[in-house]
Amino acid sequence: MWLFLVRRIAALGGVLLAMTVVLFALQQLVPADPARALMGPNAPNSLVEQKRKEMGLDRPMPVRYARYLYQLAHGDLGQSISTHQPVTQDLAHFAPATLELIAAALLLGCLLGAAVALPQALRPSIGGLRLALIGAASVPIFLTGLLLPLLFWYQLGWLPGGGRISPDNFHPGPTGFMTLDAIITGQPRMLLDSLAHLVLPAVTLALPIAVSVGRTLASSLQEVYTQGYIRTARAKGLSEGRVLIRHALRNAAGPPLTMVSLQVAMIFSNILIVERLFAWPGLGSYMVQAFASADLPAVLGVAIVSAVTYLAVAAIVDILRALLDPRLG
Amino acid sequence: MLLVLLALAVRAAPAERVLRVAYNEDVATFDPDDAILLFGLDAVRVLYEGLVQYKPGTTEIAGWLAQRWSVSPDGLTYRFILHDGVTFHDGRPMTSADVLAYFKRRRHPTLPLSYFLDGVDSMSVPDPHTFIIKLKTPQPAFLDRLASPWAPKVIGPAALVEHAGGDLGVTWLNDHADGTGPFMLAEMVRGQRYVLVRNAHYWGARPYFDRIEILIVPTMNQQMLMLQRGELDIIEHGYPFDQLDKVPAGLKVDAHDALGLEIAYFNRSKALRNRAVRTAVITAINPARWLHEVFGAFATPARSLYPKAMIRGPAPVVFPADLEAARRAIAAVGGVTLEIGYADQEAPVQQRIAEFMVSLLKGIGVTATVRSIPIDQESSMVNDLQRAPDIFIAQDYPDSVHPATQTGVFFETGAALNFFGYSNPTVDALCAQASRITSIAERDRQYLRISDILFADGAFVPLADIKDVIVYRAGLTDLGTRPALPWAVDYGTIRRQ
Amino acid sequence: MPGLEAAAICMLFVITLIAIIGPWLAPADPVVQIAAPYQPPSLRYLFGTDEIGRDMLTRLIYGVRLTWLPSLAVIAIGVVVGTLVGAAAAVAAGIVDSMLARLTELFIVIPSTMIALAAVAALGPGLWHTVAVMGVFWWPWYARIVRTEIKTIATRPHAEAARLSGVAGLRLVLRYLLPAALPSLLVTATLDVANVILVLSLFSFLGLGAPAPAPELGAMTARSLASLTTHWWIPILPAVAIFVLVVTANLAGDGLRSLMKTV
Repeated sequence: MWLFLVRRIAALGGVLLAMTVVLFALQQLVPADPARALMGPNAPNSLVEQKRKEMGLDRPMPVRYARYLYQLAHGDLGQSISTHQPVTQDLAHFAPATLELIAAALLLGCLLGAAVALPQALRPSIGGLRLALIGAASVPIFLTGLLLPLLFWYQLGWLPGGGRISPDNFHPGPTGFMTLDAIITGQPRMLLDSLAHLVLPAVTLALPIAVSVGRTLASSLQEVYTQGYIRTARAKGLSEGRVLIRHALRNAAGPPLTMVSLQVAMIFSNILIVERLFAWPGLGSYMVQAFASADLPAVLGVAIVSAVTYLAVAAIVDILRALLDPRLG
Repeated sequence: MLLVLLALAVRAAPAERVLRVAYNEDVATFDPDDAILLFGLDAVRVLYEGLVQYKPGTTEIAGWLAQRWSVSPDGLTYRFILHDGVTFHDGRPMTSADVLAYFKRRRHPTLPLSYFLDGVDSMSVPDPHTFIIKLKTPQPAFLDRLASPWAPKVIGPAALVEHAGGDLGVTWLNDHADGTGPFMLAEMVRGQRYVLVRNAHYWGARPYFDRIEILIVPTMNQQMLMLQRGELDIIEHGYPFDQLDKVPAGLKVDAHDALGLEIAYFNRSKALRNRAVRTAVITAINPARWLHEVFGAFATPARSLYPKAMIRGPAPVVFPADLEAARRAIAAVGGVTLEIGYADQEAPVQQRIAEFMVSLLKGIGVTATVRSIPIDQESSMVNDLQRAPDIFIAQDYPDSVHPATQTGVFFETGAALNFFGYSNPTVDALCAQASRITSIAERDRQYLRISDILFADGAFVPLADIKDVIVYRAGLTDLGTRPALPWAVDYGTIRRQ
Repeated sequence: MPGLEAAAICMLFVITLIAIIGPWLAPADPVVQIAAPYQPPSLRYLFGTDEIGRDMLTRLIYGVRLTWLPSLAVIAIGVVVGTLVGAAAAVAAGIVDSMLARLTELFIVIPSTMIALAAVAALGPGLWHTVAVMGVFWWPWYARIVRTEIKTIATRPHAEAARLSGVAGLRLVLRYLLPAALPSLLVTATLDVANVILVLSLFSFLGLGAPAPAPELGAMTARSLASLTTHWWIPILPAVAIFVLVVTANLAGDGLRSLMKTV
């Protein structure tokens, strides 16, 4: 098991390296000028030239790349051009917001997906449900991200329209996750408020996850139900519910779990949009600003965080699968 | 039910006077020597103060930290008498020595805005209330430079000495402020909000509001909804022009002349190399044909290559009107394809203008596409004119009200925003000459002559004077707007009736 | 409900037809102003006019064209390249196989959006840049599917029989293994059209894709967000068009899948 994890991490290291090369190379083609972005449009060219030398931008690309790798090995991700802060500091500031949102979306997505898949597996002929699922799977995320707050915030006023929390309810905590910090510091109002702010963006992100995980689970369950050991279990006299939990789910869990890790890999583009629509101060917003200023260190920093997140989720999924199905691992 | 409970838990009644505004994105810093973006000037203005400023609603210069000033007859020596009792945010009194220390910092070549003090020969402080600047040669524009929104604004010793940190305090000033202004920087949470709180020891008139909360809200759509629901008090910039004539009840509109002139820059190294084609294109993009639909009553056709608040040209620029001739000219070269670029930060408005142009150009046989140029690539266009767009449209702001800053930023050889590298030694000479004229009427005549030359040359096409529009909740007054202060109200004077 | 799926498969063809003959079908020019801006839907302008005064019906037709055809292109790239590579991996096995697995993982880990944004920043906006980037990210899936399918089929009786009777190498792949993998590939591809459309519209919302004034559906919504409460048809109709396209693709895919099962 540990050997497996180590090999995975090594593989991911290689992948990360390849990714930095690609992004670095692409950046070369961009006719952008980070020094100019820093100094602003009105500064005279001589000052910009000076800044460019200071930033080492006049060196050839392999030299700059080597320098970047060297710094990376020492945990230094460079300085962001748009915020003027160290990238590691920026990541520590913006990442918890995104990670909290992803965690909430995954949780909701899996719950919703299971809630939808289980009745379908037990009684496969609910046509209306299937159609509703297909409908839900077909809505572009920016449409839900627009309509949900329009209804629940603007028209009904039940939920806040954006941001992570009302400033009056905010108390700083150790983790940067509003919900966790609220529990750790014992602030019930903060907990309620942060949950209220989480609902709409998390639901927007959770819908595509729920649909794909749900569908995968449903078809996986359907397949499992045709297997011999299910008939055996029923013949042994087990109730339908116990058949489900003891045998069917365990064996059917594989594909939907893989789908979860796939969804995490793909969630990044949705995060960009949802964070923008809900004014959520996370990595997506940070990325958009970084691109606007040709901020390569920031872009690479976000890429690394997203890759590491995927690794973590994939590792958890693999462990769960191994636990559930002793045939694997 | 749970949702209702959640909503109730969230309501909090503020006891102090709070003003809530929004920015589209983070500012890098509020350091007045480093702050180069257009938004954020409202905050910088009340954190830090300069020697002089423009009076609200005018382009007249009035005192600020300086209660009066004089200029020597040879135009080289500026003498400022400072107010008494000025203090920094931590309570320390400000003397002319502090002003000198700050101006020295401003001049440091690593700071982007150091060029404001180009041509300064020496600075001195004969007594604690007097600050003297001596120039190498006369600069009639100098006082306007000092009144500019990006002008030097005094930073205190807490930043420049105690927290200098070897980089002139730049890092410390990323998250802190130390000025003399009516507000202090209490909170700076990137991506979320910034909070300014009233300076209890302020030496001047006490502001009405106790707190200014600046929220980061990336989409205008959401800002508008928040404004309607009362979660925001003001939208300083970006409210869609087409909705200004039907703002919801409870909101008001303030539109004032500003220094943002919309200009079309022509890249004359590609399709627009041919003079007849250029004339045809200019005929098609005549602002009279699209201005009203994009801006309604909030813009007027340009009168010259200077904003009308700077120099009021005698009449709107005359565009060629013969569309048939334009069509023929394009057909004569077998059709033309163009790319129109616009500045990314101003996307919604610029994109609309560009797409109207596309529609109008199609009418004379020109096929055009549109491309947004991120801010860091704007200045790189000149390095590769073949890859750059054929036309670039932008609404940019000069540093101050004096025309020398307009030519110096846009039209002279090597100017920072001379996007396609236009270079004309005659124009440069005329600009240098004009910048030395002290009679305003004579000077304006000269500058208008320069504008005519540039337009005739087909390098710069003046399009429109666009008003700065502020949408705010009824009950707010004394917004304190100024033509030279883009996208901002004056938090020091604004109050609720 | 076989009727619905059958209808969806028909719709697929109708949409493809509209996408191809769109320019002749549309009543106006998609980039030219034909009336006052912000006209609501009416008998004269079926879907109203947008912020420039262009006909929304025309722009929606062109928008479908700009979404549907590139989506098919991405799938085509994915299928063709993926099949080649996947078949090669299945047959070659060993190092090539594990390299394919690593490559697929690489493409999962790198957020495609970031690469697309970087590519557009470098090369300028363009529909084919975005299609190329998406194609590059899409083929690994198909390679994996084809490889797995071929490996599974290779263990089936008739393939075993063919191998034992001396058929080998390329012929084995082409005559026996690949054709058996095709149905599953076809179903996956059809279902995938829906995904590609959603991702394309997402990219278009972020500003990637054909440059303005091209009527990209996602971009049309993204740019008119501020008109949501006042001129709803401008941001909402393009999103609904995407919805219709995706639902059709999904239903058609489901229909094909049940068709394959019965065959």
